[in-house]
Amino acid sequence: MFARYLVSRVASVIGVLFAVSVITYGLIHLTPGDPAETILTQQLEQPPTPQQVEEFRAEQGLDEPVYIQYVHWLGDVLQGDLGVSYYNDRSVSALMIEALPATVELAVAGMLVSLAIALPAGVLSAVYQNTRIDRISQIVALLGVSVPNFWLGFMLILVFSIYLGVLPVSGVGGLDHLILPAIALGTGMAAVVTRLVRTSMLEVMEAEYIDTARSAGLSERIVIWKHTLRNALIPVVTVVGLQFGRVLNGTVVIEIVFDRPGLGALLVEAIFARDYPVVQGVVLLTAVVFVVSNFCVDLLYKRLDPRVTLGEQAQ
Amino acid sequence: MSTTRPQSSTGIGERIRLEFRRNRLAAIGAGMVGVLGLVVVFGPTIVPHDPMEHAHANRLQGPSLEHPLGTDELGRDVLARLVYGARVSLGIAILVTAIRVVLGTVVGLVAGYVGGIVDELLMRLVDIQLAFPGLILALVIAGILGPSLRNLMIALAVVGWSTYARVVRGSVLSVKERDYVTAAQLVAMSRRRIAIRHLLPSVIHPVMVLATLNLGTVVLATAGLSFIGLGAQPPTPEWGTMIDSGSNYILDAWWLVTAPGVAIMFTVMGFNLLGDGIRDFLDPKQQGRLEEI
Amino acid sequence: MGTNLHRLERDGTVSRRRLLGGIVSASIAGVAGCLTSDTADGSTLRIAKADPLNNEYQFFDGVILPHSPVAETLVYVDNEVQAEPWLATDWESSDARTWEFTLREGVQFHNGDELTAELLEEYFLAYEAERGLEVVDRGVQAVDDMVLQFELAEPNPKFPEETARHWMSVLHPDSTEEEVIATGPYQIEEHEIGSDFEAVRFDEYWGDQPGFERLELRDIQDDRTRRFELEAGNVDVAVEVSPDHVSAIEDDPELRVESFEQMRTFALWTNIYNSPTDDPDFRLALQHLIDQETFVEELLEDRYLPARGTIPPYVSWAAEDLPEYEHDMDRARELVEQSSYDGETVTIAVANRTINGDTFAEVFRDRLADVGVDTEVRMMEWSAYLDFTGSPENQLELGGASILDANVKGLLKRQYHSEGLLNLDLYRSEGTGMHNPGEAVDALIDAGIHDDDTDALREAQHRVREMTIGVPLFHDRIFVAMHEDVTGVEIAPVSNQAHWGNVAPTE
Repeated sequence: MFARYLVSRVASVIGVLFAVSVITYGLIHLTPGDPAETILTQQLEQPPTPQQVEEFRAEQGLDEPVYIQYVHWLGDVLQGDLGVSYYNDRSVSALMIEALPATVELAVAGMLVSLAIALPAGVLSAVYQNTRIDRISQIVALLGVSVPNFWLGFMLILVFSIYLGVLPVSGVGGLDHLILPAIALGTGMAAVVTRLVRTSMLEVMEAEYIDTARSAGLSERIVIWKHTLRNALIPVVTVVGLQFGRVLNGTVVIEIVFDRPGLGALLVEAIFARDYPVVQGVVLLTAVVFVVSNFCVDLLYKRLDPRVTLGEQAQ
Repeated sequence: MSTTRPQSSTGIGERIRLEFRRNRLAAIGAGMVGVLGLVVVFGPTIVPHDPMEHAHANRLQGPSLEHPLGTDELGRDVLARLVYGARVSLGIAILVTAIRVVLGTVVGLVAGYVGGIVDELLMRLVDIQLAFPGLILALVIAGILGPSLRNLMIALAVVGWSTYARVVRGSVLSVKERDYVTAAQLVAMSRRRIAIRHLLPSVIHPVMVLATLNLGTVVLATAGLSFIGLGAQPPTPEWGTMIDSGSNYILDAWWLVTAPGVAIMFTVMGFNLLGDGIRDFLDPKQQGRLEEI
Repeated sequence: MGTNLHRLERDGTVSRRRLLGGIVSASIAGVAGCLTSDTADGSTLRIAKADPLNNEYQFFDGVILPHSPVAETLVYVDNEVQAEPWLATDWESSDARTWEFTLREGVQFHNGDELTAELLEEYFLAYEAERGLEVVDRGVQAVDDMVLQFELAEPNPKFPEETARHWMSVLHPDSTEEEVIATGPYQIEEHEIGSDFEAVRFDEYWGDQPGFERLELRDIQDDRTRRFELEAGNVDVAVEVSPDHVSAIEDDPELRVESFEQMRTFALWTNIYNSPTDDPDFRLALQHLIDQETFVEELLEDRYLPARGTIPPYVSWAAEDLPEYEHDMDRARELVEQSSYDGETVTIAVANRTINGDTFAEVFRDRLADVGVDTEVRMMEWSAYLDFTGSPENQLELGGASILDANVKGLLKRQYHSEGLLNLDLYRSEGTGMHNPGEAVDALIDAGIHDDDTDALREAQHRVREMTIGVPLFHDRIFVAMHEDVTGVEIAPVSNQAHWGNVAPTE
């Protein structure tokens, strides 16, 4: 049963990844003008002569039909060759590998921050459902999602780096470089996770075994912290994991505010420089990470909670 | 046939009033959105300054009676820019959300109702769109098309419609099996009429909730992309751009960054509270659903 | 290869390829920053600067370093933009074609070798062979131990001044990408391409011992972040802060700002070969859009010298009585109406690292809108800016005209001569150019350079002013903000050349 499910899911993931690669490749064709000319102008720093364009086309296989070009490109990509930056004679994969750690550590730290806010807020909300405490903790979480994170980033720099002088302003490095960016990033995700914790807690609290625990004479605190929370956490953790791909959205702006040399900053610079191989590389990588992390979470969810119906074959 | 509609038609206004009394947060949200509406409609006629007018001799002045929120690096009145900026931000949010809603609803309705291979194809399309982190895809599309508000709206619309499609399709599927649709089919109503008479109303609720919440996220995304430089271009007063240029003066002219930041926060908060309220009101069970960007 | 060289010289600061390399910077310095953070303790000098070594470094595969704490050139450029001895103590030529440089005695490379003419010959030859650059034109030769001879293809009385360019930095021939061996007061301790830069004191330095044991150079492109880092106490010196922030920084008793004249003139430049900027009436209209004095006073806190021409008045042959154009919007509107401008959208290109560039651009956009010209401001990444402003599509660009060496006459050539760096490519390929009005001005500049005819140089300045090749705005300065307990910062007027070894802690 599970094996069959797995096979069908893997097949669909592969299909999606294929489509993703087509779209990524097609991005450069969104640009006005002929890609060969675009690339050559960048490389030569002046408009190419028609003859140069011809030669370049032949050399790069650009005179072949687009789908053949795509196949060549995909072949290279599958071998880990994403091309070379127009502006920097370095390979796109090397640039991305250099930028990756800064982004990954930020994403992980951001998720931890969101959990640190959401767990207490969600639990309080659930335990004191529909009271003032519930409302306040929901508002706090909502505030987090409503503040533009780049604005929050500047405010954090202002207070902690400049007035208090306790944390670094920019760059990457030790844990101290991570604190402010992670807060700016994590607060944005906290609201979603809080609501999730709250709902999940409420569900578990209604479940029978909690009543049993309660009637067995366990104190309210033990019931909440030990039994309810533990059971409620399972879906929360899965969903937070699912957020990983989504966290990448937030990292772009944060990396710019804190001048962190990550994937997001790389992408933005490449966009402004019209350095398409780099743009394609970053988009492809984030999409793959996104698809694969979603897939893993799906599987995990399925394993953890057999109630999840198999596949989406509802029809 | 239509007597089985889920809601009673009596006293919808009364129910909203009661709900607001019960759910004070929703009421606050509605109030905030109302204030915003007033600002958008009447603000520009009230503020005395032109948001575009340079006054270089008066640059970077602090808040005063003349300029309640000070002036920016070109001597423009920050309050005026903020108020006009509300039009820009909300205008974009509404337009983008509307496009997403229409696109997503059509796709969802068709997929859910027609089913079969059409459904399969459309849902694969949805999967593909959801395979990209939304903001990153929007960033790239806006960047490649060239920085402008129009392109920003295209980019945001392209990446946001699929959530609606999924939700709508889900609602259609659940409704489809219910008696009255089958009954209608028996009576041989045309497919289109069935869709309009019965299916559409049942998908309106989730779409309404999603759209309200979406207005907030689009405001945030617009500000973010503009902050990066891929959205509004000068001199358009847009909140994200204002934060970007104001951040150069954050140590010297705090009002430049604070004012648009608070405005965005207020707006997004308002839509979120209202959206949550509408959800609680329409469908108290459906909580904890993840929002897309 | 030639194009690369031109690119290198554009706008004074290099770094066409910085772009993506620069992004990946900071990881190492970040760690170091933690270890040595807080205020200057007299042992480490921490500098935040926009044009990082690693980029230019990368550009020539790590062989050439720019003006830096690590490498030195044969001559230094003093405050009057004159060449003064550095690694060469003397230079002479009888015919301006064969130049002999006498090297300084007692200079050691970081690997312990003595600086000799032979080593330099080897280095410059290797360098020529590898890059195919036209640096040494005809030949380099060690005449004796300490005398190095350059033979040029054609006479150049200003060749010594031109050796101040940072790609003429003196390196040991054994230098590699991983290990740069030069003669500067600091030597590289650790430097990976794309990361920040750390150096330690070179104990055998020929000059005074540097004031700090270590030096860190952080590449921070954004002036806002450089200032933040300074205010937060994470760096000791922030090179280039916005004039808008000078008084606020000075309010902090722990901080201080010093400013240095730059051989760079900021202007709104026109591509005289693209419409509508090829129309003299349209260009003349631009002159009437602003008043330089008011511009500097209102938008630049009155901290710069308003410019009327390209050459700052402290240069002896700067043209004086250049025509003045009043701020007159009605006249500008008339001129636009007379011109062939047909309502198209005109692009104003600005590099987004230009300090206050967005503000300047907005001023012109606003004024141009007032006179009926529709414009679009395009903020561009540095490399994209260079590409765009070197292309025939360029219309209006906001930026500085500057040179990398002490040959100020070269600035006129670079900017306005058909064979000048900004015009050469298009002149050769299309017969056009960018800012070059044509043969008459070419001849004047040639006469100025080759025959030392200063009247011709003045005349050339008049011509380009009257033709509105650009609307000069101000002569640039560089504002360096630093911690109170750092002294000795001095930035030369070209391309951020500096004696970083002289920077020391107070006491």
